[in-house]
Amino acid sequence: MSTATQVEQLRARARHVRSVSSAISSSRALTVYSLAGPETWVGPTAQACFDALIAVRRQLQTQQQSLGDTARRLDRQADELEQSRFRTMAS
Amino acid sequence: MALLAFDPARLDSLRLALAAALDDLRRVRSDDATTVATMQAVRSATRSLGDFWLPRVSDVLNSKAMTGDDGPFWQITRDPGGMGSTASSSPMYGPNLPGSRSFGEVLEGIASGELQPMAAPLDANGRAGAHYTSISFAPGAQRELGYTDLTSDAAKFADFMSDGLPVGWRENEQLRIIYLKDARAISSVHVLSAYDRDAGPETLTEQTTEATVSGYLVIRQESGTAQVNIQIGPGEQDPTASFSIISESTSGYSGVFYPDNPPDFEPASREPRFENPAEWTFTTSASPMVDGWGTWQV
Repeated sequence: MSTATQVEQLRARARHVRSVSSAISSSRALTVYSLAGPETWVGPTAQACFDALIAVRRQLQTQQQSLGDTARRLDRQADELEQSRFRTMAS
Repeated sequence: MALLAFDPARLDSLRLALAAALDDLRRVRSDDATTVATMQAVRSATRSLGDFWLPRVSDVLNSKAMTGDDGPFWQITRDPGGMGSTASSSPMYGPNLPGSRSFGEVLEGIASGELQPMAAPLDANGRAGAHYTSISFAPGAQRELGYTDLTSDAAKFADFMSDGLPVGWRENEQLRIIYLKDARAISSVHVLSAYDRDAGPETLTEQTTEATVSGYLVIRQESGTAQVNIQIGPGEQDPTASFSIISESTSGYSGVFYPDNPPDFEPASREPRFENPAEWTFTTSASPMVDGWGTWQV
């Protein structure tokens, strides 16, 4: 596989990872907890639901951050490959 | 038994939001090797919302509430137990939950000072030309918590004895507690002067303020009827069978409102709009200023 193809694949993967991150950040799963508070219901199940939705939010936000890091890493790899390709072409 | 208190309208919003969140999560797809952990988290969240919480919320909404299905108020049901929840016997809903108090709990809250009344209307103290205020309540949704009969034994005896007597007097006194949700409270300013009792006093409309309030309206209602009766038919008859030829009724009420939160009165809007009519109007004068008005006291 040529270096150019590898670069293009890395950039495509970075774009895909960013789109997944974007889908998570716009997901209503991040905000649904706000409707599960004590103004809606109160009791053991209500508290457990609120806690679970907060946990889901935290988990998804962690993944969202991780995806951002992954996308940047893929882009950086693509940049490095591209630079090495340019260097090879120049020499 | 663990209990669960819920607002049906809000819980239904939560149900719809859970379904929407689930829909969003199901759209997140990736088979990239770098997203394995993310997709595991998404699947876990999808299971939590779809397999557990959405059915659980639907179950609560469909449960037979102990407080009956009487409108957009808090309802109580048996707690089905939740993921990670402990079915402890600790109180499930606090005393400050809006509209959750019973008739007795409201009276206890008033007696202990836990429930604070709304500021009383201003009194003109009988000075001609002085300003005084009235407070009207136009309820949106309301729920009667209960009532108790305050009619004195003497009045009940007089009522009983009135049956079959030529002149009778019937008196009834009740204490009612009503929970008003998002009612419009209107504070109107008047000038103490001569006025038509039916039409009411002149109102300084530019000084009218209003607020949206929720809370407990405690009302004491009195009614009395004086009757002049004649016996039905000649000769020996059932002494209680009589026909009223003259009947004069009087009624009145007094009350105090205990808001969930201190009301924030703002200048009333002059824009034309649909409004519920005021159902109760209070002043602090010793007797109602206008027919249909009540006194601010319990």
